[in-house]
Amino acid sequence: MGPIPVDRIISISSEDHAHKAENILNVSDSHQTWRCKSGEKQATVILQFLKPSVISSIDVGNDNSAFVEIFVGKSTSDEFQVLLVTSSLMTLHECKNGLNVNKVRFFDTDHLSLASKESWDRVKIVCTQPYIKQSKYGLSFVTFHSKDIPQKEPIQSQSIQLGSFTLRNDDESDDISSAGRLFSKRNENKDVVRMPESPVNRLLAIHKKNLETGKHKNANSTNINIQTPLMNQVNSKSPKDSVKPKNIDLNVKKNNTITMTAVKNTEVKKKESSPSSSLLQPSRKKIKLMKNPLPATKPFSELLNNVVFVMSGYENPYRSNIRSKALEMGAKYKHNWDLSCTHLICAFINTPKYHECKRQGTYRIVKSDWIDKCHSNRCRFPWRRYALDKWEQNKPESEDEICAHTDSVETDDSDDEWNSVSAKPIPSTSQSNSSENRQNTITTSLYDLDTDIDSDLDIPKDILADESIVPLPFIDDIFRDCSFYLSSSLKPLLKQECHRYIIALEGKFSEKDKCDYIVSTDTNDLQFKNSVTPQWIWDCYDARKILPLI
Amino acid sequence: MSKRKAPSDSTNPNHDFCEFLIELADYEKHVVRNKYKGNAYQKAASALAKYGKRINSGEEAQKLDGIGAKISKKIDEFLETGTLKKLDNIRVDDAAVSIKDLTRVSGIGPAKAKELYDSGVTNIDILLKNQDKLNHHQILGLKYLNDFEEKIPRNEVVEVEQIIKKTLHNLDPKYKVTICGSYRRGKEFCGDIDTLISHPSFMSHGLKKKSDKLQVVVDILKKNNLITETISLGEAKFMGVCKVNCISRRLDIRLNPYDQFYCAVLYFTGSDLFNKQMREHAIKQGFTLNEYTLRPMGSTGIPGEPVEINSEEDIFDYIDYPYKKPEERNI
Repeated sequence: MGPIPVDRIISISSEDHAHKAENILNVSDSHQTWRCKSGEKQATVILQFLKPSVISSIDVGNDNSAFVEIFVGKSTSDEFQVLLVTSSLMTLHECKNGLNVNKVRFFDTDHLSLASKESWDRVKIVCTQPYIKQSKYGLSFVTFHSKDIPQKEPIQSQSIQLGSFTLRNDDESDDISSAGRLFSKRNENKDVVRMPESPVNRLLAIHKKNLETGKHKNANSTNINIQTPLMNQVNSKSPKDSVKPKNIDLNVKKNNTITMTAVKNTEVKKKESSPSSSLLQPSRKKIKLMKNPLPATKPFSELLNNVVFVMSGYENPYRSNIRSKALEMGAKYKHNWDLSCTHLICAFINTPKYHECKRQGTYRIVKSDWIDKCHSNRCRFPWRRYALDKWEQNKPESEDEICAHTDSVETDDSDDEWNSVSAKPIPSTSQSNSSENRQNTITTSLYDLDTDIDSDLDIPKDILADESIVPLPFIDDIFRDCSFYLSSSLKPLLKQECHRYIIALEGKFSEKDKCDYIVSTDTNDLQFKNSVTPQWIWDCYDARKILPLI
Repeated sequence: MSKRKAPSDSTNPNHDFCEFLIELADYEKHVVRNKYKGNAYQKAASALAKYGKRINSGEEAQKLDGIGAKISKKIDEFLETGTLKKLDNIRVDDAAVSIKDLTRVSGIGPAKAKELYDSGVTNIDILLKNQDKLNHHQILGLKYLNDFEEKIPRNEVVEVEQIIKKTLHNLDPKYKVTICGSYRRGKEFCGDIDTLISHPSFMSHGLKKKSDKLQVVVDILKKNNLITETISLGEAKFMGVCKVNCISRRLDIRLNPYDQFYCAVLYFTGSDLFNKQMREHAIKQGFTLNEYTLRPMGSTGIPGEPVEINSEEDIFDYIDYPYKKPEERNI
């Protein structure tokens, strides 16, 4: 039973400028909701499916609506039939007291009318809220499920033939795409108490997993360990998994073709990772000494030293839980937002503090996950990963991870670190920027980060051996054959970052008058036709292609 | 609902008008079988009863809700002559008289009465000799004709209520018991005893399985010597006869699904006209209300899923109708 892919929104009765209708298709973030304009009698949205489907169940996430009614129709006619009769999303009591405005209801076949036996490619959703006058209401999400086995969905788990290898996607039961995922897995094994997750969160997480187009599927066949798509992939090998030393890692693009780089990576990897872990170890040591003179570690109690935070939208006891975790890591708490504050830990957008924060131009608005994950992983993750605003999440991270000192050997920390490294590959600086060495660049950059916490020598050998199978982050070579000049007007940090990106994306550097692109923020430079801003680089990196110059 | 309505209050200054209007209402309902005309007369009678002052002219009466040109003319005629031509005609009409007489029997309605009249049964005495024409209910109705015509004083209903409540609570404290009808509306006299019971284990979505709860309840009340006769007994409704003093009374017990209990209580508390008004209001508010559920109407007029009701007040709240206590529902 898979979710029915929605092609587009055909029409809406109205939408609030902050709560656009497309938000209902976004299952992953329950704070992004669709609401109508204030004072509407009913709020309607019509969706178009990719193809006609039989709807067997519907999940509806509410946002302040009292009732929802769902119709089905066909693109060939304007008529709609009732699929789900008007059903309550909130009781009167809840409406009047503003309680449980985001309930989720699951409607299965028993709730649906006879129309559920046919296939339809259009649905009309009608929400009403007669009890709160002038309110803006709508839904946070809606998902339609079909019993049909999806045939051409991007998320299907089909096997892919790759030469003589067969790629088989292996759904991990409850993958959650967060940096601490592997870590929490380990916790399960060790019976460590975790923050309980509500069923709704789990549901949302599963939906997210389903909907994110195959972002991270682990391929796992008996002899070959092949990691499937995308850069955000996460290796979920636990140290206990015994993997044969000859395992090969492949990075596979979204379109399921092996890229050249990935294959090269594999070769390099093969060369470098000799079967014996004792040989591997010294070489890693060396890399560390050479290339990572500044191990980013701090005592756990100082991890968030320079963070002054304000909280908004969280209720006790969760609020105090988060607050004490942050304080434990050395952050400072303030009741109200002032100029000394650095981060807003915010449950949803549009809270008064959120607006205040925005007005003052601060953009470090994060979800409580950030504190949770940093605390449980003993590692300060870049805040952007947990940004409340979607568009912030997509920007490149400007800070590195900082790990807590470990007193005793925590072997699993290495996994965790691997996890976070591979979860968001950051193109890293390397002395070797010649094209012959580019594979090495990628490989060693990974080792760079790895060795930060792997400095202890008494790590069990089998774990080190396992690490040789960790996938390499896949980075496009979009700047290949391009040469860059970094303007002296760039600030050192920015310049360094640009440098890292350009190398990672296989670009070269040359003189100002010979280069293809001048990277600058200076207005004088911007008059050159070929001048670009650092932002253009980040954008290219995100888009995975060279974007046209503006 | 019942034809054994409590008499109109004789302290009411418009008592005589009410009486003739109710007589006309009964005639329209039972003989002509035009319930709309019947309802119109009944509504006019209620309006006059509520007015509180003696009406001195048809014109004055016409200002009241429910009294139009024709009824105001009848009031004028009654004021002038002390009688009503239409009523006099009815009173001498054989068929009307017979049907009125026969419908006194519980279980005999206008249709059955008309059938009996056509077959030559024109009064109760003839009926007593022709009991083969009657069903079980009608035979019992005839047997207890005089008892059932006696109005039930309030304190006797209280007595019955206590017996039923005590019995059911001994059986299972989770039982809910409410006696509805005019008793709940605070009247001093009632026509019958309308009891609603419910139990949390009995829900509307489990209705497919048979429930023997009502059977068990009735059996126990029979052992207690409260219930003396059974007119009919199904899964959800018992009709029968009970007796606490010397007079036999009509007793109905309905077992309602727990989630529909309050809609049933509202409905069976009445009054008929109050229910009608409330339903009209519900429709204006985009709901449909019946004795089982309150459902929102969809945008294409299809009733939706029943809303959750946890008290009578909830129903009023949902349709945004000012709450009326049972005593305020005597329209």
